[in-house]
Amino acid sequence: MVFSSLQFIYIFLPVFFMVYFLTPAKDRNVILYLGSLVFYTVGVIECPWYLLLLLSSVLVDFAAGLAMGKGKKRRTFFLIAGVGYHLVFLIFFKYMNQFIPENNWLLPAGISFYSFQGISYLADVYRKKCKPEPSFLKVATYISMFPQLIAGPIVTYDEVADHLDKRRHSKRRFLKGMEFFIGGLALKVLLANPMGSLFTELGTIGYESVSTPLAWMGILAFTFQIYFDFFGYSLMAIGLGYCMGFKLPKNFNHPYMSKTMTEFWRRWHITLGRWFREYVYIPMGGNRKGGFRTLINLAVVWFLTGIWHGSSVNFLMWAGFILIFILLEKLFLRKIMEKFSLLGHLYMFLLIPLSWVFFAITDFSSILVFMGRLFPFDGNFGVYPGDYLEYLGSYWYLFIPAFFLATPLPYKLYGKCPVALKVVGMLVLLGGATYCMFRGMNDPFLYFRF
Amino acid sequence: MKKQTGNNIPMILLSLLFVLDVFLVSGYFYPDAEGNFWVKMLAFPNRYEVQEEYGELADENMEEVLPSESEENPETTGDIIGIIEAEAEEEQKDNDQEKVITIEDVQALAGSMEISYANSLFIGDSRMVGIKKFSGLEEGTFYADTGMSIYNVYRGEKVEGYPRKIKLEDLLADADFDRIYVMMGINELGYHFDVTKSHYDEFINFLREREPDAEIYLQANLHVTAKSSARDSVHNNEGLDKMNEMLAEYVDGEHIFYMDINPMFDDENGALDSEYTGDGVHVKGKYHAAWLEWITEETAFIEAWLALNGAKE
Repeated sequence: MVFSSLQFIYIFLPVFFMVYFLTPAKDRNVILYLGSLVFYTVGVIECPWYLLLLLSSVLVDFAAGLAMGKGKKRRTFFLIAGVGYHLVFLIFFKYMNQFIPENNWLLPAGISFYSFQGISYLADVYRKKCKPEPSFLKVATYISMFPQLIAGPIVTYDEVADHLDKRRHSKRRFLKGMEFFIGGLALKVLLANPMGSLFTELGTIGYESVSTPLAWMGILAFTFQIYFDFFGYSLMAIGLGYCMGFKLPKNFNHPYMSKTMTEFWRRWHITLGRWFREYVYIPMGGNRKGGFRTLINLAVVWFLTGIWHGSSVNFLMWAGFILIFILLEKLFLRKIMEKFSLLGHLYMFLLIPLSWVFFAITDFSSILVFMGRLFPFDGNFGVYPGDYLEYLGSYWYLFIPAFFLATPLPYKLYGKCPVALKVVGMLVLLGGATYCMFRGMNDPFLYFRF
Repeated sequence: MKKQTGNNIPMILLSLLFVLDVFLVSGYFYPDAEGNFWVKMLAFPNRYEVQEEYGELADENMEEVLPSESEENPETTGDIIGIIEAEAEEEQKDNDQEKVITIEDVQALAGSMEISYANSLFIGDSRMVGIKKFSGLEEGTFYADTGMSIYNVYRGEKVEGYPRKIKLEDLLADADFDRIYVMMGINELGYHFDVTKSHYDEFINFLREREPDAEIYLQANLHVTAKSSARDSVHNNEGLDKMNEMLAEYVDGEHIFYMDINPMFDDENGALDSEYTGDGVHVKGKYHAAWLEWITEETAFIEAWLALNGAKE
């Protein structure tokens, strides 16, 4: 199920919360766990095998965790077995499409996220950062709880261990959680989704026919779309967690305010960067084994980050692009950009959308064509004169709030608003988002409109 | 400690039972056509998975409705050529002394005709919008939008030259059109074919009543790429071909004609050639000029034939 759908918000959530809050506090984990299974099942109903895969992953994590208990022998074996179990399926599903192109199998929902959570649990138990959890229910709830099951944040076990035992539920927390949820929903449905169609249309026209200003506008639109989509989703996850007393980790920290690529990757998809740092970079030695080894370690981390996002070559190019600038920054760029912050902001304003080109377009020759439009060294500025004006006319009312919401300012302002204004604002946003979702759903075959 | 591990077995069993239930339930829903629809509504769109099951069901249904042989339809200028030849033969048989119209006559006249779109109306979905935006056409009236279908065509659209959205019937009342080009069909694929057909019957009558002198040129729906077609159990080339065959049947040789652009953009397997498209569904902007040129040629041919036929009588 998708968070931004009518069935989730108006059917699943009310029913779930009703059952959840009517249950005595000590049994609420059971409800959360079962509710999450239902949530996941609805999403994979066409292929129930994926539910079995999720459950088996949880069982493996639970069993391997116990097997690595203090003083037990062959701990390394169980670590490798458990991690291997996750990786086998992850690699199979993610990359099989590359090698068997006729296969149209859909990736099991959330596998990239719940596999990584499982691996983090096993690694933490192995290095004794946390004790192996003897309760199946707690491990299962940790991995499968629906706020973070499908799209993160990637939570480490110690972040929720205490809350799984005992957490506070209050009306205040519930309302605050719903605030986050509605805010995230609005960002996704009211801003990211409409913004997304600009770049898609450029693909329909054909990149070779797009003028240079329009190409820049298009990639800027994609830059905003991907941010508000993911940021919105993470806010919804955190909000839902908070409703139930969990404090899930922040995933985004105004990343577009960064002055360097290095800083950007500490503010964007924070839990993923953290995972790679904790479980790959630092175990490999981090930056403590000399310059050359640091280079290798960074290259490995970025290679893995690239292929985690997708199996086609463009994702490797994307990761490579980012790696180059991170290395340049380590050498000398960082000090310059941090000293002259305006320069740093301009540098990022150019580089971030450019990096997304490799992310947004999967086909290599199309990337080249699009780059040619962004930097028309051949002197050809565009096929349809004034096309960017037409699109500007249609999209300006989205770009303005997008720029604004990429800064910390509106969030600070919101925090200072009186409660009544907040309530009204939230209701308006919820109404607006609901209307948009409803209109999209008018056509039972909504997924395509030609 | 013991209490917690004691709880584990029931929890694990409960989970396995849940999974078993899900298998049973989803297996039960499969054959039931109504149930499938409801499950689809609830589920995240795993179209890719669904294709295998639904593809078979759809094929079964289609075999009943598709004619085994396509009937003789004067569907393109190609078939008008057929009519010309047949008439020529008949004339020869009757030993008539009157002049017989040949293909060369039609082509000669068509070549000299100037086609103006000033009084033409273009009704259609996003492909028609593409023609509006990218073909370079500067005249004509476009009543077209993404998502248009005969289920919503009457509702009203923003048309250039009118301050507000205008309904189709008002537009037809307000202006006189000599030609009406129609391209709709792909957005109807999700609906029941017979219902769509009866709506199309109504639509054709609607146009004929309000613009009795106009020629209606039904455009075949553009194919999608083989890849897009394979992924989608609804919007695929089989469905489009079926829709196009239905459209071809409306041709009457006097006021209603049919044009099929697909041979121009198809690959050798009858799907849209991926070279011509960026998203698998729409032709790239730069090819629309050629598309318009083709429409102009076809229109000229048909009008030349009509002119010669009228003169003959």
